[in-house]
Amino acid sequence: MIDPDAEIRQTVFEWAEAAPMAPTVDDLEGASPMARPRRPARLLVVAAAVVLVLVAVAVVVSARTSGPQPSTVQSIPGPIPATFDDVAGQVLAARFGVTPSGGYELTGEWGRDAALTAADGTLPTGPLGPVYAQALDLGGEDSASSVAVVTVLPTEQDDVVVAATGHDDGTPVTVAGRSATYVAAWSGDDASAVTWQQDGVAVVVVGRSALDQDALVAFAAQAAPVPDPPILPVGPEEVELAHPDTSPASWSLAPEAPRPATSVSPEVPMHWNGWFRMRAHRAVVLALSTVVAHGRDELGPFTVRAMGQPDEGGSLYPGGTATRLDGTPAWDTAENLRVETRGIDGQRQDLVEGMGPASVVQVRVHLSDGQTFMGPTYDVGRGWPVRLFAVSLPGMHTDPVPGGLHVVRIDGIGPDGELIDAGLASLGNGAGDGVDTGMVGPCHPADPTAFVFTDLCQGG
Amino acid sequence: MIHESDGEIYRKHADELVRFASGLVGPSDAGDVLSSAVLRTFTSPAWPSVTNRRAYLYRAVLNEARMWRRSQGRRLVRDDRHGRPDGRAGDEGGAGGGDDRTTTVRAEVRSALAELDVRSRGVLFLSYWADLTPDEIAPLLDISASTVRRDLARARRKLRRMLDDRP
Repeated sequence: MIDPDAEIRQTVFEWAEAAPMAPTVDDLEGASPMARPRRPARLLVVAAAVVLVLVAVAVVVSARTSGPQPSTVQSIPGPIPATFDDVAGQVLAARFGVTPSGGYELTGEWGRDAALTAADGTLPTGPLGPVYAQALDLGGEDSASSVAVVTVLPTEQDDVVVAATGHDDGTPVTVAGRSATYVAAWSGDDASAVTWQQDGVAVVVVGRSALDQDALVAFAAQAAPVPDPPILPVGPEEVELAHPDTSPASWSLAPEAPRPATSVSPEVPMHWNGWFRMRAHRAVVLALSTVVAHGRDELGPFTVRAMGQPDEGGSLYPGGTATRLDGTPAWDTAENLRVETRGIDGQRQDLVEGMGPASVVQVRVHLSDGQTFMGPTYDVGRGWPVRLFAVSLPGMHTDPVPGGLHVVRIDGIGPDGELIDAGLASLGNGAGDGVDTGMVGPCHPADPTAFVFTDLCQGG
Repeated sequence: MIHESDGEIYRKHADELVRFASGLVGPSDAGDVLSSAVLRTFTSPAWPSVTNRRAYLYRAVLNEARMWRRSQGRRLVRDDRHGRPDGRAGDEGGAGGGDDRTTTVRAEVRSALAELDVRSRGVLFLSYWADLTPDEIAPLLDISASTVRRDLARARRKLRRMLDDRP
């Protein structure tokens, strides 16, 4: 029997033991571009030669055709705002999520197709819906909060199991009369799982590694009788694709390994319930961040267009939502440091995301060093009264470690270039998790219901 | 000119960094990758304000390896498939013996792991060689602990499937 863990360990040790001596400081100084005479690249030499020839030809032609010419007045272009072209001409639509009512939905524009799997999106999810939550809540026991049930497409069953347990080497068990598979945790950091298929979907019951097989199967037996397990609708979302070579794709989310219960005090036990976190926007942030962080490596620049709950006709967004007193949505911006997108050249990029009124067609993001970036907003196309944006900005941080550059302000621009909304970012979200949020309000000081930043509006 | 204090920091971590680089790109290019990463780091305007310099250097090596891998990755895969990571014919059986079957398995394991992306190789290295937990690896590579666990799971699954598919 070959032990994969031992094989990995041996290979990694080979990597380390084969390492050469580290260069000395003197070696480094010898390798420094400042200390090393560099030969001009052949391409540069050729290019320089071509330029010289063209200039010579131009001079000759100009000399031969010179004569009275009508004079023209050239306008001197002003500073051109950096517009980040993050779509690269291709669109790949994706539906993303796991909820009983049809799921959170992520429509993404990706530079190219990528082999993302369920394991690429980790959503901290508890029992999937109130029925499941009630069935598995034993009350007062830590173990109750350490069990999660998730339903996924059968094709994603293996990925979900691997994401939770660390491997897919299971043993057959019986759960409430159904043939199922028990997969033990690979390590203490992983979870164990019981999984089976019913009614066209796969059910995965995930338990803390401390739970033994019998206990987890007993929990699973409570989930098995639930009819019509909730699942995403089959088939990708209908989205108009801008590029003929791309195709729609969909993923559902894998469960995060269960976390221990948290108590604020011995007298007030807090039963951590993944379902609550899933309903909170924070969970969506985590899920999206995971996807994007992985997509970054495979895709390079990207744009996330929208996320929402189509069945409820509402919209959600990773940065959260806020509603003014008149019921219209307020802006919400976030400098999501967790996303840590990275461009093809290794340059650090970060995501700025939010939503605003439908009249805003562009956003202008101001960084703390004075740079500004323009990015488009998108109509989700579902009748939502908002337009959303998520723009990845290059150079938010110095490579490879954050250097302190951050978003300080964001403007909403109308179709005629007018400033509609303005507001501050980097207000912090109070969670101490490195995510900043901000408030952006309309530039109508007479509107008593709005967050107003008069000075910003006047400053344009 | 490398500042004296930077030289001190480099000397302190050079051995672990070159092993890390070897894990990412193979021993043939580990020195070059490390040199480029360190020089890039020492000339970065952010370097003087960095607090966790060891973590910064690890990430710098990882980034440099990524760039290197894009241009040299194919060669790395070829090297790993044909023996030791530097392409030299070596003791294929390692400490476990040298029969033909073991030799073949070892080569296949190398091949499977060579196809992992740079970050995953880094995670494997820090997990198995440095014996760090996911929570310890995460800040070193500036990724989440769940991402570390996912990378580990992927590597194990890949290897498991490869071994299961063997005749």
